[in-house]
Amino acid sequence: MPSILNTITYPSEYIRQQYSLVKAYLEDEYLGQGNLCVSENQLVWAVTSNETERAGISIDYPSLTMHGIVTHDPKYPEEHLVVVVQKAKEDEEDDENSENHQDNGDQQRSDSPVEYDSIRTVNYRFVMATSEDLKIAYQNIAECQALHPDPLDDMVEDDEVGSDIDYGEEDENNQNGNGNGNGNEHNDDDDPYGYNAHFASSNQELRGSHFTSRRRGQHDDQGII
Amino acid sequence: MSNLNRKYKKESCRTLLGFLRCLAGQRTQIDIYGGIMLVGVLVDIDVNHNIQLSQVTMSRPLQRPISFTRLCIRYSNVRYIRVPDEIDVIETIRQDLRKMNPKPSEIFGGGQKKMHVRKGREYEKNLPPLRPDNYHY
Repeated sequence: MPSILNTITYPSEYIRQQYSLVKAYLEDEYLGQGNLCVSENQLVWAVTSNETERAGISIDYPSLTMHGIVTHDPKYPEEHLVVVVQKAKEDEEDDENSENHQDNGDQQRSDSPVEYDSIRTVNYRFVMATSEDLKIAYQNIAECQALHPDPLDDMVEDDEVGSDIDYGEEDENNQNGNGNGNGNEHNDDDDPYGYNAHFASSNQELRGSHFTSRRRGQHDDQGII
Repeated sequence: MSNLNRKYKKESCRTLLGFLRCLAGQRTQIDIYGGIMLVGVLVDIDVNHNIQLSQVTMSRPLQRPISFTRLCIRYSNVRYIRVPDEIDVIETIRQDLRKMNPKPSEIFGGGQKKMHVRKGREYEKNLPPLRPDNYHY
């Protein structure tokens, strides 16, 4: 058994689907045949066993960069599922397979010094028992991944209807006399991006565009367009 | 579920998401953080901006490219979505808005009667005047 596999806890709840006879590959190294378990908290592949603690791989959805179905690949004759996972930078030195990554990483760093945010990714390949399993697994992973949005992204939502969220929390009521009702923000410390001016519903009338000339939530009139 | 889907589509038509959804069916290039580039046909973008593509070629720096029949990308990794040159952005948005907000006469099958129309002319006549009679004094 390759020493890359960690001992992981096989999930026992919130399981969407389990697939048996799944062969797993990490980059080009064959890991064995086992069970793939798509649970709502993580994606787990582990060797077939009756114990809860088994050797295998556990992937958290926030680090799951992308996943897809590959049908034609020169090295893998069967169609299979490829899961691209973001690797934490600390793992690079420990990982035996990292020699490719480190070479690439160094070259990346020297070729493009601006890529401070470059992520390191690894490929896992899962060869399922049947083609149907493959399609269902792809769909399930996509659904479970949608359940894990990044927490900080709530601040940069689009201007969706109904999102009258007050972003300026801290001293807003003290610094601005009218709180959200104030059309002009003289003090931008609590609202550096000007969210209050845009999202507060009482300010909608001040904007002249067609999209906000009527109350939010009503799409009755088509407008001038 | 279909009601939620329709509502999401209609609301998103006024946002960037709505425009991106108009690109469905187009061959686009998506740049991912880490120098990864994907070229493929956009299938769907969901409300969280996760992107689904088909017939994709993924090229990573210094590694052999991989071809996917279907690929799903997590939104947080997307750096750029390149809009094909032949797409006129403003016209696409206009058409999308038109499709999402059809005039009552354009709705196939008649559509639902709107709340404010139901009251009719009687209601309009009996509304209080916009300005009181002594406004100009």
